[in-house]
Amino acid sequence: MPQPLNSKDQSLFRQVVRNFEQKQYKKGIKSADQVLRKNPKHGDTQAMKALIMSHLGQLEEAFVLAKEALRNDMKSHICWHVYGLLYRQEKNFDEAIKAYRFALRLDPESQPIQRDLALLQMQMRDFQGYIQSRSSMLQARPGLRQNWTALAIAHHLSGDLEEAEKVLTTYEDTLKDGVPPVADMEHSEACLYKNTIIAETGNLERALEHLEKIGYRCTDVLAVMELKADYLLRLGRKSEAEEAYTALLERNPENSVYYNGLIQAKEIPETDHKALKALYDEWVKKNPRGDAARRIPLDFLEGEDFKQAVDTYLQRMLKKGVPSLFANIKFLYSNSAKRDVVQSLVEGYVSGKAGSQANGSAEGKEDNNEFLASTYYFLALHYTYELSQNLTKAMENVDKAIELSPKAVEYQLAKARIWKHHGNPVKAADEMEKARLLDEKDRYINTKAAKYRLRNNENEKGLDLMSKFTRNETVGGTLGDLHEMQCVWFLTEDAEAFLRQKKLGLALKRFHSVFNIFETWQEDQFDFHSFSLRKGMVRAYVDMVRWEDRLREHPFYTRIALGATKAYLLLNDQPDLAHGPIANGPNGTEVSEEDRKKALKKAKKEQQRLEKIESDKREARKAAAANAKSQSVDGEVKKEDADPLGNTLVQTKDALKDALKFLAPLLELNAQNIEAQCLGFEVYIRQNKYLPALKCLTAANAIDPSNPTLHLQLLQFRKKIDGLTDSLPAQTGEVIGTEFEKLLPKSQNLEEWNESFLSANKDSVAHIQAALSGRQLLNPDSKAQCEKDLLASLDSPAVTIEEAVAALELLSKWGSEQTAYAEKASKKWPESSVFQLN
Amino acid sequence: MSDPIPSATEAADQPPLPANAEDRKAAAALSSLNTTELASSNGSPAKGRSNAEQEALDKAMSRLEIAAGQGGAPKKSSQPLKEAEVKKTVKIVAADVSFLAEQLDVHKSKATELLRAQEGDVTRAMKAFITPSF
Repeated sequence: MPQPLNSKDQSLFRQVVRNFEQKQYKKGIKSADQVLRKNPKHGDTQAMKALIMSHLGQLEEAFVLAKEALRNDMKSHICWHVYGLLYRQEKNFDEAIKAYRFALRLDPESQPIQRDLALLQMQMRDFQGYIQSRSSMLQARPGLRQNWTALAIAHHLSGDLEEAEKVLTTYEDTLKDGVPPVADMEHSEACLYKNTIIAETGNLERALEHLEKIGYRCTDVLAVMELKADYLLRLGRKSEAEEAYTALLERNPENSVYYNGLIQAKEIPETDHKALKALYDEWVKKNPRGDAARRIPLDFLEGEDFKQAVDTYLQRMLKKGVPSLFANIKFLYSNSAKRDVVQSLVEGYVSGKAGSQANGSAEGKEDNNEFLASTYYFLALHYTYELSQNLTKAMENVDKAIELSPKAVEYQLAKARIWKHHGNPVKAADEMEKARLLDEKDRYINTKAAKYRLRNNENEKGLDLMSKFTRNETVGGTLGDLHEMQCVWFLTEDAEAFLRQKKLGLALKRFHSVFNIFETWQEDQFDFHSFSLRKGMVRAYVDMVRWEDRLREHPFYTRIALGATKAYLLLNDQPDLAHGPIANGPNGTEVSEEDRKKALKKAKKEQQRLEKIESDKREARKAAAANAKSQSVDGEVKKEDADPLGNTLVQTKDALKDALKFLAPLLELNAQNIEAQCLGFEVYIRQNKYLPALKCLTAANAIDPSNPTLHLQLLQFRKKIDGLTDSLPAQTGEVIGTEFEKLLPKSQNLEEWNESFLSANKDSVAHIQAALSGRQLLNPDSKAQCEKDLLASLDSPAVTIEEAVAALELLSKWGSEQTAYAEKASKKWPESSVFQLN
Repeated sequence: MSDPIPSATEAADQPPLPANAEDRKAAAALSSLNTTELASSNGSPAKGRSNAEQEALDKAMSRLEIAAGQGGAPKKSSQPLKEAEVKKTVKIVAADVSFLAEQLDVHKSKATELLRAQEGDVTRAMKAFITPSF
């Protein structure tokens, strides 16, 4: 039963609430204690105290107190509301929704509870619930436009476009007497929002009509113009569309989408290069300083026309010394004829053939030097690029460029990149360091230098470089700041460097950090469910909600998910790695049991040593913090990381399950990624989950049936299921039997199948490697022959450094001698460092 | 993360005032009237309101409610209703759901969904599961 408070305590309780709202947490706790001294069982006060405690970082204690509050006062909406808020802080959203609902049942009029419930329903994408909440919020306050808009959004996102439009129209009808002034952003945005809803129904005729009616009063002029042009084009009203796109180009002649629209509106066929070129030329004349109209024609022009156009384009840009020129040109290289034209033209410039445009000797020597240097630079990048690679020439050219202009950061940077392509991360990092020293204030080159350090597995040096541009007094130092700033690229590269060194604890630690950052991004949208409505920016809000739904499609998520999965697979296959990298036997040959134990002991010792260093550091920091109160400015207490080396992560009970946590979103959102599918197979097959494993195989097969990894995995799967069909449940066995039959028939002789795959793909080293692994799987006695064949694959003209590095890993997996292969590879790539075995 | 405000106070939830005076008047009048009256009378046309806009809004509300059914219950358009009816006719065996969830390593709700789509046939559900969706 609730305890009634006397009037003095009542006002004290209100004081607690006020304190909480003004974030005076310590005062709030004090006042709450005052109330509780006299009324120890007052549920509402206990609940408020719990809420304040949770904001002071004592979530567990807060939960205990909140539960007690509920026991004391089951019928209090405050207690239930607080309970929901605590669950929300814990990110247990389902439970939070339940608690809010209960609070709302006790006090159906309460707007804050209703609002909290609605926001959470949106976050959880519970659209039916959200519609309901929004309807009752609208009933409570029909005078607020944002309540109407919110209900429309609820209907829109749940897929009911018609109802969404109706809600918006209903509100607009109430405005008949006075149309809001043009400056009313909310009105303008809501009108355009309604327009996009109409367009989404597919009725463009009506959308256009509506746009004509409201468009002239909208503040987002560009959006109106773009929508109009798009509708007109899609409706086939070509001449009007042409006008609309011309108007857009007048505003911004660099947007290629507008050119495409204009060309479609003018109905110029794609093959009519002359007409197309004429169109672009017209815009060049109008905007002599623009780039798009000069660059785009290079995409479609062919032969002599292309040569002429690209010649002018290149000379113009090289004279200006535009450093991004190559990045702009390299997309043309997928067409090898164009690649050759560019190469011969630019080679011509350095041998003095560009003089035709220069005004003889009137131009200073300085100008010519600049032209030459940027031309050498272009050639250096050209010969580094994989489709036109010739690293010797690249090095010659970059050296000439540096000689002409020794202070240019990007030339030195290009040199580092060439070393990277040589397979020599050591030299690459050193050269990049030289580039950094040319301009120490430049964040870009600093970042590059740090990245190259990480590529060379020098984690500490990389972090050290980063520290030049971070706030190092934050908790956790440089690394702490990089986490706080969500520096995803660094954490990813750092993780991958640790993974290469088989320091799995640290690698997993970083992978988890990035994973958590993505989680934060998902969380971040919460604020916008109310903020965007308040500001009236609904179109951007809807875009954001849709983006969040596909957040984990992001390339960086893909990278860390793949990396983490590889780390967990390694951990699963070699549990010893939990104690840090294990020294391999000499040259990676198999080690005896005794040696293994010795190495393990050594690794454990090293692990303990590192832990000791870390804890010493922590102690030192604590001592320092005790002296100078190290609370950050916003009063929040930042928790010290209790496991900086990731040892708890690496001592997981079920590495494969943890791997799936990373991989599952990828398999769902980014199903077209073949590497994800292949790794998914590796995880599931180790878990003996045959149907999901088969799903990965069929997906991989649909993406690229000739993928080498897939080939090997098909063999593995066939061998595995042939061994155990009886122990599977009947239905599972049947489905696997019939479905896998389509990929690799049971009657097929596997060795023949493997050898024919080998001979069919003998020009691709990756395929050879897969087939040799397959041969070993089928017939372990063939090891010697496989090693020989693998060594021979180094003679293939197509072999790349990456493939050779993969071969070394393969040898270590087979438990074979690596020396011979490494030596031969070293001879083939004398500049490389990756084949130096230590 | 925004700081949620406990239900103990209503004041903090006051929305920013509308920019022009007329709207402000309407909003002020509304928030004092509607919270009590509208909720209890459930959208019946209120009498004696001076403001024209007020009346228009009330009319709009009742129109919305008639369309959506009383009390703001979510209006189900006819299509999802039909689908729901179809779904009900499919009989899903609980044992099948847990078997499928275990074999496919998916959540039970996902397994139910798969079974529903395949009219409760386990084998077909498995086949549908492994067929790539692109």
